Amino acid sequence: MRASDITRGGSTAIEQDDQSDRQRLSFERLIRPELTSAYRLAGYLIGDASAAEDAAQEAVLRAWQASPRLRDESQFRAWFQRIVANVCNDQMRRRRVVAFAPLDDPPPEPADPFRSSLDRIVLGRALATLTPELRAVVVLRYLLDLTNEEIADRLGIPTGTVKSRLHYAFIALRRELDHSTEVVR
Amino acid sequence: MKADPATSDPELDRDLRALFAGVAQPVAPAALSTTVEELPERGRAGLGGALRRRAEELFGRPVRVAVGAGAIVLAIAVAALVLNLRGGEPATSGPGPTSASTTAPAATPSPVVASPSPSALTLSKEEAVAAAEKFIGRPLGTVDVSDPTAWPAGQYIEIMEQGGGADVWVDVATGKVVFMMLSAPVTTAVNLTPEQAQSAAAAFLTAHDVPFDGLTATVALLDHHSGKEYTVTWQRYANSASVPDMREVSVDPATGQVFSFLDRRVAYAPVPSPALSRDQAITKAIAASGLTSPTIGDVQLLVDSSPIWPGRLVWSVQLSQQVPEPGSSVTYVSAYWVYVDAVTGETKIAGQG
Repeated sequence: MRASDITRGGSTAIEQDDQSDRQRLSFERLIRPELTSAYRLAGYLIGDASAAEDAAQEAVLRAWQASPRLRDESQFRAWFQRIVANVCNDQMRRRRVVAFAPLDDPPPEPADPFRSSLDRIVLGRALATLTPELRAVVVLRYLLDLTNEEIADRLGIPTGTVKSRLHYAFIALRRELDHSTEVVR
Repeated sequence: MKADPATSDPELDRDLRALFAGVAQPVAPAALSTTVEELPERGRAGLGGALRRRAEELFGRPVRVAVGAGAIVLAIAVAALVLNLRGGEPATSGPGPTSASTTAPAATPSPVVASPSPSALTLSKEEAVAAAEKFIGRPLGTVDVSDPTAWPAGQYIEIMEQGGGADVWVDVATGKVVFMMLSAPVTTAVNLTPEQAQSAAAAFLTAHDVPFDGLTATVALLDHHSGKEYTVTWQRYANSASVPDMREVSVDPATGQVFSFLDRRVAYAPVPSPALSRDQAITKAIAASGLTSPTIGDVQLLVDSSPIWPGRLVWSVQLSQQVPEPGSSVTYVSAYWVYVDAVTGETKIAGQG
């Protein structure tokens, strides 16, 4: 804004342009450091690079639209993670199909980094067999290193549900790992 | 309640950590950056809009939104521009430029906010630029210089260096700089301790002949994720209430450089003792907000110096509650900022977002 354009109680075109620019710059400054983290989160939640990119893009746009309601800049990361998790949930609900390939499927295309990572080792393949609900708490816990309370906040579920889902996720993972070990033997 | 799975199966816990830490993690594709660069037009104001609305609020327009404690430096700028006033002596009351006090009877001693007076104009634009250059310690480049602009608490000339290097406001009545903002740092390193940051800020004030005796200092390290800053605030208290007499200095935690300064001195009347306790004020604030199970945020006892309730002793209560967005799975925070007159118990929604 040019100082000479300031008018009391009024709003000049230059002010409006500047306001818009300032909004974008503020948002960009906040969102850029979160992009890779959001992409990874979406990737491990959905299990598909292309869908993760779509989800991360949608999350950015949702965040942009909703940013006037963000009141505390210091909470941006948590707020944006909630949006990413919500977008991924929406995508998975719409698709009704979990993107992870069954264990006996052909090897994934190497271009998909998430599938590559998850299929590279037995535990990754076991993680891929979890339901989206169980996988989400595991990913938030171990990819983002969140506490149970933070996971509850991001997913909008009670902390007790987080603990319960982690419990069942661990049981399922252990069962899958033991099964895989037996198969190898 | 289930046992923590991490403790019930430590081997799996360790392997999961290794899984996410050990693999080469993908980075965000370029298309995501493009999305950020090509954000569509939005039908409503955004983050900057909140600051603009805050400015409008302080200009005397109906209050619609509050800016949280963590708001960016620009919020400080806006507050400084509007609230700053030369002199700290108790003021004689007079007709202020705002009408907030006419809509509700003032319960605490009369306000304060000085009316900008054309007769106070004593500074030319050239003198203002010279004062700004002296303050920041270097010649300014090409600048835009405003006409003296009337704010509720005074008249200021703004000197804005093209390219965004510096933004300085000079009080036309005193010739003193009341606000300065230099290009904000983008550093994330923290090489200074809080004590060192406070020393750097104090040295800055002393070097610029800005008094801060009798004020209480606090130091906060703010993390904006893209950068960090120390904010050193000196605040005066009277009868346990913060009064509009404060200095604030922002220090780069990596280098110790001061990049922002404001000097806010609004004259105020003697501060009465509050009749309402903090808890009583919170109860009233919750009732006024209509929120059913809010989280209590910042609660302060202060003498208001904004057009909201100028001169009143108020409990400022911030409340928030998570609410689902209709038709969407996204949950938002509904937040209220409520003023409760600490003497009468009268309430007023000061901001809502």
